[in-house]
Amino acid sequence: MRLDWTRVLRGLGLLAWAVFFDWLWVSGRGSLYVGPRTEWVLVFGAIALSTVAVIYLAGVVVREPVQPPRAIEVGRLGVIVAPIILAAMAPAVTLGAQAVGQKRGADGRALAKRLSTDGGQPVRLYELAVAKASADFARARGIKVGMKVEFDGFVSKSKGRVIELSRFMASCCPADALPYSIDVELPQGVRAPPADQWVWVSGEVGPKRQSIRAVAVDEIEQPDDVYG
Amino acid sequence: VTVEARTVLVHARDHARLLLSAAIALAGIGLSVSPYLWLDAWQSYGFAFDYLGFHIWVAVPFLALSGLTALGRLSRAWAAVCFAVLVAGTIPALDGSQSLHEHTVERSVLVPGFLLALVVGAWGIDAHLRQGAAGRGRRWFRRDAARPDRKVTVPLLIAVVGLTAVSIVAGRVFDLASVDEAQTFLVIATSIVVEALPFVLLGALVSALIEVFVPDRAFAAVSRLPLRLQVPGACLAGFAMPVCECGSVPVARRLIIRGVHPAAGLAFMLASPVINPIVLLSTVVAYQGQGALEMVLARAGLGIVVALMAATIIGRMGAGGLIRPQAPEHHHHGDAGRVRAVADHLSSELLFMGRFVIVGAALAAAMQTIVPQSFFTGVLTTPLLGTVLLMVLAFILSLCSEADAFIAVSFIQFPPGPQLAFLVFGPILDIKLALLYTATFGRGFVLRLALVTIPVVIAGAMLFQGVIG
Repeated sequence: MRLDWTRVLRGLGLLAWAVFFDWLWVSGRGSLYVGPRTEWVLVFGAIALSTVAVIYLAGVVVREPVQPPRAIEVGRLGVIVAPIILAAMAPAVTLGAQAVGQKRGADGRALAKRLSTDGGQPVRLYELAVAKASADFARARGIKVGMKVEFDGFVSKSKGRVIELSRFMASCCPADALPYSIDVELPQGVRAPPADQWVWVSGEVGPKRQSIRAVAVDEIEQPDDVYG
Repeated sequence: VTVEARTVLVHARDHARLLLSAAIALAGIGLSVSPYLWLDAWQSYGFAFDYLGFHIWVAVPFLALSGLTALGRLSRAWAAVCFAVLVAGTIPALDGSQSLHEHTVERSVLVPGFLLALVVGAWGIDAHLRQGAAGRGRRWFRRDAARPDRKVTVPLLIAVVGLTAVSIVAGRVFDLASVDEAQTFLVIATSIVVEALPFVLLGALVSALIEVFVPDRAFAAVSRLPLRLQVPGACLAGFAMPVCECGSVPVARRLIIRGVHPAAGLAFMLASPVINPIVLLSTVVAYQGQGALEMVLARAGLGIVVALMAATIIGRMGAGGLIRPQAPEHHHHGDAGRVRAVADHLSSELLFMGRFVIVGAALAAAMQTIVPQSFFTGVLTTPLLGTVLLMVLAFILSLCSEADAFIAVSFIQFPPGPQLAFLVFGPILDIKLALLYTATFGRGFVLRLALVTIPVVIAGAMLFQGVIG
C-alpha cells in the first residue's frame, strides 16, 4: 500500500475549491461573487465539488507502484487554487468607485422595463437612478419631486457639496454588474464621506428628479446585498 | 596545466562567492543603520539601544541571503535578484518606520519577515531547479530543448507553501483590497470563476457519464448516420443542454473522442450556449417590450447558422487533427466500480478545463479593470462599426450567455443589429473560451473559428438590422 502523490495534489486542488464553495454558501459571502438570481450555483458547486473531492481523495492509497508527481503538477495546482489565494488575500471585496468609472454607461431606461413598479416597497437607489432617465417609470413607481426617500449606496464621486452615490445591479455575477448612480446634495455641516464608503441617506427628491436633497447622511457598514 | 588552471578557477570562484556574500551582509547591515543619515526622525532622536533589535531585524533577510550565498546554496543570479528585491523592500519599510501612524509603523516592522520568506522561497525554487536539472545547462527557455521531467522536491514544496502563506498575510497586512484596481480585478476574476466552475463541473459530469455509461455501440450507431443528419441533430440537441458555454466544451470533446463526427461535436458545442432554453428565456426577459420575439428568433437563428457553418467547415478534418492530444489519464479504479470511474474522469476534465477558465477569467477581469466600457460604447457609430465594436466587447467581457442579454439591452446607443452580434458572438468566442478551445483543440482552432464566425455574425447582424431597422 502506498500513496499516489499526484492524486493527492490534484485532490487537494479539488478540496480547496470544495471548501471555498462550502464557505461561500455557509457564511453568506457568496453574495459577493454571484447575483441573487444565480445563488443556486453556489449550493450546487458546494455539494458537487465536495462529493467529487471526497470520492477522488478516497483513491489516494494504491496497491501498485505509481510514478512520483512531476513538478508541473505543483504549477497546475497553483493555477487552480490561485483565485482562492487571491480571495484570501483580500476578503470581502466588492466592486467600488473605480468599477463605477469603468462600467459607467448603462442607461436606466433599459433597466426600467425589468423593475417592478409595486409601490409597497421603499424606493431604492437604482430606482431613483432609473427615474432620472424614465419619466414613465417615475410615474408608475410614484417617484416625484419633493418625495421623501431613504436608501443606501456607496460614494463613487465627490463634487464639493454634492456626492454621487452608486449601487451595482448584477444579473449573474459582478462581471456583468452595471452601476446606477444618483447625485446627493449634502446637508449643511456634513463632510463628504470618502470614496467607497457606504452611507444611508434620508432626504427628498430634488428638481426634475435629477438629485436628492439630503437631510441626513450616515456612514454605515457594507450591506449584505451589494449587487441587488 | 589544465588541472592547475581548473583548480585556480575553482578557488577564484569560491573567493568571488565569499566576496559577494560579504558584500550582501555588509550592505544589509549598512542599510539597516542608514536611516540616521537620511531620515529626519531618526536623525533627531539619534541611536538608542532600544532600536538595536529593529536594526538587527532589518538586516536578517540580508544575512540569510549572505549565508545561503556563502554556502553555495543559491546561485549568483538568484542572489543578485534577491538582493535587489531586498533593497527595494527595505527602503520603504525604513521610511515607514518614522511615520506618525501606528498602523504604518506596524506594517514596516513586518516587512523584513516577508523579505526573509522571499529569500527562503528563492532558495527552494533554486534548489529544486538544480536538483531536477539534467546536467548543468538550463535550457528550459529554449523551445527546441527537451524539458527535463522534473519531480516534485521538498525545497519546491517549502518554497510554494511558504510563498503562498506570505502572499496571503502580506495581502491582508498591506490591505490589498484598498487598492481600487486590485479590488475590481479580484471581484470580477473570482466571480467569473465561481460562476463558471459549477457549469464546467456539470459539463464534465455529462462528459464522464458519457465515457463510463454510454456503450461504444451507441456511438458507432450515431457515427454511421449521414453527416447531414448528424450535424443538424447535434445542433438542435443544444436545446436540451441548459448550461453555459464552459460546460459544452468538455461534452463536445468527449463526443468527438468517442466517435461522433467532429462537425457534429462542434455544432453541439457552438449552438448549445446560444440556443438553450435558459439563454433564450433570459433574452425574452431582457428584451421585454423591445422586440423580444424578434431578438430571440434572430439570436437562435443566427446562432444555429453560425454553428452549422463553423462546424461544417472546421469539422471536416478528422478527430485526430482536431482534438489536441493529452497525457493519458492514469486511473486506478480496480474494483471500485463505475462511480469511482465517473469521479476520476470528471476530476481530470474539471482540473484540465478549470485551469484555462481561471486564466481566461483573469485576462477578462484585467481587461474590464483597465479598459473602460465607455471606450467602446461612448462613441457614435454606424451599424457596421457598432457591430464590430460590440463583438470586440463581447470577446473582452467574457460574460455568461445566460446574463449577456441584460448587458446587451443596456447598450441603447447601439441599434438592434450590433446588439444581436454581441449576443451571438460572445457565447461562441470570448477570452476564456479562446483559452479553453486552445487547450482542447489546439492553437489553430481559435483562428479558424474566428475566420468563419466573424463574417457570418457581421452579415447576420446587418441583415437583421436591415429588416428590423
